[in-house]
This record gives sequence, structure tokens and C-alpha cells, in this order.
Amino acid sequence: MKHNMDMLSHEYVLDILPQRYPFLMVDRINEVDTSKIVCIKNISGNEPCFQGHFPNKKIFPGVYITEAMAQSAILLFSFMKDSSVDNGNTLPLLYHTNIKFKKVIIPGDQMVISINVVKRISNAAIVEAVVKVNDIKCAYGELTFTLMGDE
Amino acid sequence: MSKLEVSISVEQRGKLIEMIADILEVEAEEIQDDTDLVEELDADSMMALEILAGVEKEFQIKIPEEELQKFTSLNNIISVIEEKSNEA
Repeated sequence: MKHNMDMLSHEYVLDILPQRYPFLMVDRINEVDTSKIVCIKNISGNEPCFQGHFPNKKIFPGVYITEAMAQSAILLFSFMKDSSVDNGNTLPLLYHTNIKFKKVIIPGDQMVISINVVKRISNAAIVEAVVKVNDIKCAYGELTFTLMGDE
Repeated sequence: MSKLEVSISVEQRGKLIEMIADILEVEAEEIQDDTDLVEELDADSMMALEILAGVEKEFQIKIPEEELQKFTSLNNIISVIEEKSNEA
């Protein structure tokens, strides 16, 4: 599937995702296909979460890494046909996550977030996610979404 | 297409029970052939979807969305697997 460059811009990400500062966890889309997406997020020492996580040592929180996976998945759904995220009335909500964190992510790192769809039905989806920094796997796992937000 | 009934092996059955127990967060012993996963073990539709995705991966089959409502007991799940394996 070919997309024009606009779809890979930060503006497109803002267009699709309802999240905003300080909770926007995707900077840009690198590649997208009908069943997979690769997004990036640059971690700056300026991230507000580092004030408290932790005062003496900045470590990017695992829940934020999980959020980056979830937001990448929402972007992927926006490229899929018949997606219920398109109409703006429904939000994909997380039902279940199972993520392993193998390596800490610190300021200066660039997260490369890859999402693959495992199963997609009309009102729910399961995706597989991998987050790498410098080609080293830092976190991976599965996320289950309900696309209607009614459960 | 073969009409032959393919039954899943004891080993596969064990794996299936383990997977269901894992998703429902119950002990494997609680899952008997006709245990109602929804009524007795509190499964919800999203858990059914997770079981379905696990079954697809484990048994290398594709299961359409309509079959999801049959994922209510071990026996029913096994019959869906056998039906889909026969089609493959």
C-alpha cells in the first residue's frame, strides 16, 4: 500500500491520535502496511515524567512504553479498512497487556515501535508489539484492544 | 477436501486447557469438557477472542469472527478446531 508522505508526518499523528502533551507517545510513522506499522518516538531529557521517574536517575517508565505501543496500534487501525476508530465516536481502549521489559530506555534513546496485527474482528483486536533502541529489543509483548470502549 | 474426522491429540488438548486456564486466570483442573466458561468461570467476550487468537496460532488455522460465540466450553472449542482443521 502506498501512502503519501503527509501520512508519515507528525501532523498526521496529531490528526489521528486523541492524546496530547504530555501523553503523546508517537513522533512519527516510519512505515505502514495493512497489517503492520513502524513508529518512532524520541526520548528527550525534557520529558515531564523524568521529574519523578526518578529524581536521581532518568528511566523512561514502562507504562509509557506500553502507551507508545498502544498509540502506534491506534495509528495502524486508522489505516485498516472499516476501522471503527475512523468515525471519531469510538476509542480503542486497552483490555489486556502482556509486556516484557528487557532493557531500560533513557534520555537520548530513539524508540522504534513495531506493531503487527495478530487478530482483528469488528469490535476488538490483538496486536504484537516490539520496541527497539539501536536495533536492541527493549520491550515486547501483546496488547488486546476493545474498539468499542463498551467493556 | 477430506471427510476424515481429525481428532486433536492428548498433548494438544493439554496445551489448549493450559492456554484457556492462563487466559481465564483459573486452575487447569477447573476446566472440564462441559464447564461453561462464561457462567462458571466468568469468561468475557474479550477472553474468548484471546482464546481464539491462541487457538489460531497453536493449530495453524483461521477461525472467522462468527465462530466466536461457540467458544463457551472446551468441547465446543475442540469441535470448532476439528471442523476448521478438516477444511484446511
